[in-house]
Amino acid sequence: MTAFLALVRKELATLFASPLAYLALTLVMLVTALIFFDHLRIYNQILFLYASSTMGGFETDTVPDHINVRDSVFFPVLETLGITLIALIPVITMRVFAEERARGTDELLLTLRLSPAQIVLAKFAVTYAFVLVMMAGSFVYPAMATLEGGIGTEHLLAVFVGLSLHALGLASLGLACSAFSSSQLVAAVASWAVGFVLWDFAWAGAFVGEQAGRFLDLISMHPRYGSFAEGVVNLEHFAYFAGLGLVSAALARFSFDWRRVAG
Amino acid sequence: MRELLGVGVVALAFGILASFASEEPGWFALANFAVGGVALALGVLRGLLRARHASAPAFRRPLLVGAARVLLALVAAVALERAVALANVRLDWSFERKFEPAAATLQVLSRLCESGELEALLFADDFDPRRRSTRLLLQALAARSCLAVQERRLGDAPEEEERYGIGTSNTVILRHRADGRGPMEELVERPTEGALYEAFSLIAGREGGTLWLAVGAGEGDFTSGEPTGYSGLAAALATEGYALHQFVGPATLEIPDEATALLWVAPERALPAETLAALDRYLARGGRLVAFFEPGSASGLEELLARWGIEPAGGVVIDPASAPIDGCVPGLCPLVYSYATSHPVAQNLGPTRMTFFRGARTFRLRKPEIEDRLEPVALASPRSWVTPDLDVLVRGVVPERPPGEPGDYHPLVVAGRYAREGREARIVAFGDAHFANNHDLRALYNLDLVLNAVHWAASREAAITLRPKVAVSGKMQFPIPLQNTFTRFQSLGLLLPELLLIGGVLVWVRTRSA
Amino acid sequence: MTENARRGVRVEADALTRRFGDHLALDGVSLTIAPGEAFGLLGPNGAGKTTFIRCLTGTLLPSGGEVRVDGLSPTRDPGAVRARLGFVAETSRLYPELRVEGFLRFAAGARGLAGRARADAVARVIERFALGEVAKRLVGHLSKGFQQRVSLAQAFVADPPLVIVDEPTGGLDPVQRDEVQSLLRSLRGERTLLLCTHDLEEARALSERVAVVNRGRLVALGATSDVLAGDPLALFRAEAAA
Repeated sequence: MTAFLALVRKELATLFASPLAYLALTLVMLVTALIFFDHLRIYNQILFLYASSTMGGFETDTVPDHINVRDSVFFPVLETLGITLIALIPVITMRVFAEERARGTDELLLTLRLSPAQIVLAKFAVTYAFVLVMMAGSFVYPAMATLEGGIGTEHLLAVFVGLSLHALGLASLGLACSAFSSSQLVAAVASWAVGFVLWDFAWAGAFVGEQAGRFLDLISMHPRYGSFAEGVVNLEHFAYFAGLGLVSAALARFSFDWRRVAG
Repeated sequence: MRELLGVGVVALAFGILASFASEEPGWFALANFAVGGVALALGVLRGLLRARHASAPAFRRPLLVGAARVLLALVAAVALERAVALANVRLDWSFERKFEPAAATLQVLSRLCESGELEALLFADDFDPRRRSTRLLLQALAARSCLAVQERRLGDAPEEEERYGIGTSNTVILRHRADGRGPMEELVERPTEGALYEAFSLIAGREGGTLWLAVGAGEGDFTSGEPTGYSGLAAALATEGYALHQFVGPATLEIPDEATALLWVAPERALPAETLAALDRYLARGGRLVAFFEPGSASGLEELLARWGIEPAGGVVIDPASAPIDGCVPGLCPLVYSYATSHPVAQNLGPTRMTFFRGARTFRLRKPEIEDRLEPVALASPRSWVTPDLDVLVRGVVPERPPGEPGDYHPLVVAGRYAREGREARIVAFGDAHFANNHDLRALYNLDLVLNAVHWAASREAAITLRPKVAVSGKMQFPIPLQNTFTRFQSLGLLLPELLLIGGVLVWVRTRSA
Repeated sequence: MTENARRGVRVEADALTRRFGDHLALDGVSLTIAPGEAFGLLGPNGAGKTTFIRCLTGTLLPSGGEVRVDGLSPTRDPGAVRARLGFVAETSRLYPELRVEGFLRFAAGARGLAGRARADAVARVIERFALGEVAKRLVGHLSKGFQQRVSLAQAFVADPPLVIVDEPTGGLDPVQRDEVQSLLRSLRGERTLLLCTHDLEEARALSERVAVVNRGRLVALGATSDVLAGDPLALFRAEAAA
């Protein structure tokens, strides 16, 4: 445990010693705030247009069903951020294993009293913690805005949970890609590729039957977190992203065996 | 090997990109998939052959163990996901809580499942944002019943769309197949839970008997779709399985026992003595009555009910706990959260399931006979009081509470049970007729209170339930004040990232300088 | 210094073989290093020295044969073997964004030291390897000589009974080389020391016994003075491996 904690502390120190961490935090917070504010502004404008043109106010059935905070603000934020995170998360994960390999410090780690499983666990834990901090920071502004409005804070929490799970899932994939490469660029590109492919298999609909299509839907990420935009927190999706993490960690652990064999 | 893998990955990527670009995969996408698949397969095969040729026996065990670990992780991941999926645990954190099926919906689904197979087909465009919400709703219902859900992309099955008359995206077809009967189908174009519930109810074809609706003395019009009309109540009663029969009160000399119950909605003109006598005889034979009164009304029905122990009091109830809804003057629109929840009519209602009255009168209860049971069902807040001035409803100005006037729980809905001639008569009285009109029936839990009162009066306690709300709550369509959120946007949305970026710059400078 | 370190551990290689595809990097190398011995592993570039060390530390699996540290196999008991060794890599494999003290604290912690014991160990190696003046500096800002000292310090921080040093003075200038060699000389006799080098003078100065590998084969083994007498360069030529 001592060795494991020492590695966790070292990982945190090297993570926050890199300007990339701050850049990633800044980008995600900024993108979230800008998208949220922009959609909120447009939503308010549309509402006021309807209210003033119909003289009905907000109490009566004057506004069409599809103009509401969920569909006009929460869902677009979730969708846009979902794609943005596919591009951003690999920037964080690419260096986790690949940089160690490029520097040769992976051999240093392996000669300390750290097993490959401990190394993988420590790096996954620190990366997950960073991703969660990043997501929490990015939702500070939307949370305060909806608190002010007095509506949908639980709903927003569901959106946050969905996005965080998505981010953790992408981090898992990114870490697995990083574990098999000594080039950060290759790790990042591989993460982007895997992330985009796993994002949505709708493109395969023309080639596969209904059963295969349902299976592809089960393994893709986008259908999984669409329900969070609706405010529904489905534990099945937690299990999916946990499974993604488990398999990614197993793959990362396997990369050490591969290196011992391949050299 | 790496060259083949690289070519394969690039070809597949471009194949996927091309597929995204158009609905039908063209020659370019197909060619890339073919080339990519072959290249990847050859690359993997070559790698495996080389590994097999070059690998020492000493390597095989560690690699097999490592691969087995990965496989085990995969199996565990799939097993975990399937197990949790089977458990179907979902938390509805949506503001409207619209994915928690109402008891009434589950009851009617249970009935339909007992008698046959039930299926829902959702027709929607890929990019219709309502599709995911409808899908979730159907999944929530399917998880609690035998409902089988299928989806169709709009345009993929034109024959089916033609057959069912599908005109718009986000339309659901409900299909029920029962033994000894042809399939029954209902089309639902705006599939909220309430709309689906009504469709399920129509398919279930519940039979509740015949309600007699009194007309002829200025009572509420059950055919009118105006806000002051009662067509909504008529439709809701039909959904609950009642047939409706209108009778002209002033011309009625005898009310038959076959009437399941009577509905008398705020007669404005005086009823003839013969009519009131006929009603009195009907009740004395174990009849059932649901009556709505307006403050200040004097049709003769009030005196009749007073003889049955339910005396509509004069004046108007003023309640500080008033609903700020739609032009209501605070004080004149009691928001009721106090109920006799032990009474079947009010079961499941409570502080989070409120009802809303618009200008109401209260009742005094006095048992005609010892065995009679008279109870208040819904009560105004303990700070409510009664003003004798009926003009407050016209002026829209709430008077000052007289000094020393105590507040009290004034009943706005009361119910009575009477043993008569070996049978039981039941009466439910509402102190507000607007409560059930088209404008206010679907506000909060008004509909549930009215329908449950009718069910109780008709001795159909099994049908007493809470129903799904048809419309999306307007609260999610409220604006968020822009000025405040702009301030927060600048202080939180922009300042925090700015500080973080400054931190990053300082770290970068520190690492660069010796 | 602990008793354990004072004794050192035995290192044994038994027909150690390692293949990379068609290339045979190690071909049946057998040798024994006695506890407490300063042993040199010599050979030209690409001879297989680093491969041998990687098999010893467990970062590489042998294709055949066996290697043991204190009777333990790095393949079957990797944790136990790691607990007995400190390793200094060919090029400084450090974390440039950490400060020297922080890095040594990490190395000590990762070797199982905690609390007071860790603080004492770090203070001891900072003093021993004369890192006091650079303790607060970022590792990436140090000269190569100081980085090599930091590398040595992390290997010794937990006082292991076996220390492996791969090319200890590679890339250093004469002054830095002299400093590092002095340090290594002072460590002789405390524990088992395995020095991997292609520098004959360095081997003479630091090792009691040497083994020479060439093209994966063991071409000479014995006391330093015996092996490197006469024309030691002949051992480095290709013909010696034939």
